Amino acid sequence: MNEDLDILFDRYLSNELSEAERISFDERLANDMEFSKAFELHQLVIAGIQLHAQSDIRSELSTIYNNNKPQIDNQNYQPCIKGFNWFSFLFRSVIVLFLLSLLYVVVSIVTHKTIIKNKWIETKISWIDTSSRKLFIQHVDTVYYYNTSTEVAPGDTITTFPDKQIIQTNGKSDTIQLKPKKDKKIVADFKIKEEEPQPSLEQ
Amino acid sequence: MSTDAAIYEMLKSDRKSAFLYLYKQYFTMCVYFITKNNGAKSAAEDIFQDTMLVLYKNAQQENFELTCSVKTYIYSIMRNLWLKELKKRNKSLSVFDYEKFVKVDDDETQLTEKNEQLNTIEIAMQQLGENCRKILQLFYFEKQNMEQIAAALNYTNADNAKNQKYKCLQQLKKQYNAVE
Repeated sequence: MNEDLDILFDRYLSNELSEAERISFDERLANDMEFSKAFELHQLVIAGIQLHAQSDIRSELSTIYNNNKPQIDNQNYQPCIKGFNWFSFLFRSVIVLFLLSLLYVVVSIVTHKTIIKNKWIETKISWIDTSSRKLFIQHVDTVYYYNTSTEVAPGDTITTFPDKQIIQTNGKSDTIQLKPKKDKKIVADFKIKEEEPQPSLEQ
Repeated sequence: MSTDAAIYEMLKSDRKSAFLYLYKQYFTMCVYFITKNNGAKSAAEDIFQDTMLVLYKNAQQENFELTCSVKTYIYSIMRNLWLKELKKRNKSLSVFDYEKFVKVDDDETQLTEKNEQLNTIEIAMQQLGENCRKILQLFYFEKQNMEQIAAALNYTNADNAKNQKYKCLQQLKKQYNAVE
């Protein structure tokens, strides 16, 4: 009888009862005090057996760990997901923003169009444009200066190199590039001031 | 056979070797995770033991099918157990993750907790013979059927093992009532 009860309890706990058997079991559980007590004890004993088995395995695991501690603790671990690095994130963001702005500026200058209509950006673009024009003007000025003939006077020295000439006048020096960029001309002929006849001391 | 499948087979046939392998492979992962999430190494040792128990218990179930790698499953159990522990300690319920994880139900990671009545059963268990303890553990913890138990404990057939199991269970219940 008791064996049958144990089997019934085990089948109930492992969901092996049919629907009808389960209903009958639940009814008996609710109405039969002795049956209910026996079932309670059965569940408790099973929990105790499981706990005992767990503690057996725990002590087995402790022994395994303690006997192989150096080997186990010295294993390397590389996490697959790295922790979030704010510094790296900010650094990368700044670089990306800088590259995007640079690209924007280059495209704007090349196309002479503002891609994004924004007053602040337009002001910045206009400033960059003006500055680059200034640079260009300076460059032209310089070329213009080179294009104009440089006066040389007696006593000045002209040192000619394969790519440039250096004119030295009263301790100052002036360089003329002989290999200018395309479309730029260099006047290589220098006017040499004719020496004014010195008044004769004898006169 | 894949490594993961081999580990499961090993957990059934030679659990000591399986545990040693799992310790070497994943214990440092557990220590890393716990220590980075408000825990000490000693807590990591306990959580890893519990993780091994859950894994072992699940591996014994016939219908258990692993849908991810053993590493991901171990990480997920460990993560779930540590979240439960943090809840007990009334600490933050969010953790930083270092691996992929799958959703694990609380029932799946449920282990039997000690209480006063279970301590009495524990005393009664210790008074049982080695063979009786073994047969009850194989049936109620490792969920082995009578044929497997008969083979493991050298009974002539499953019916003999079944009778023996019944006697042992009755003896345990008697011991419990006596201690109570």
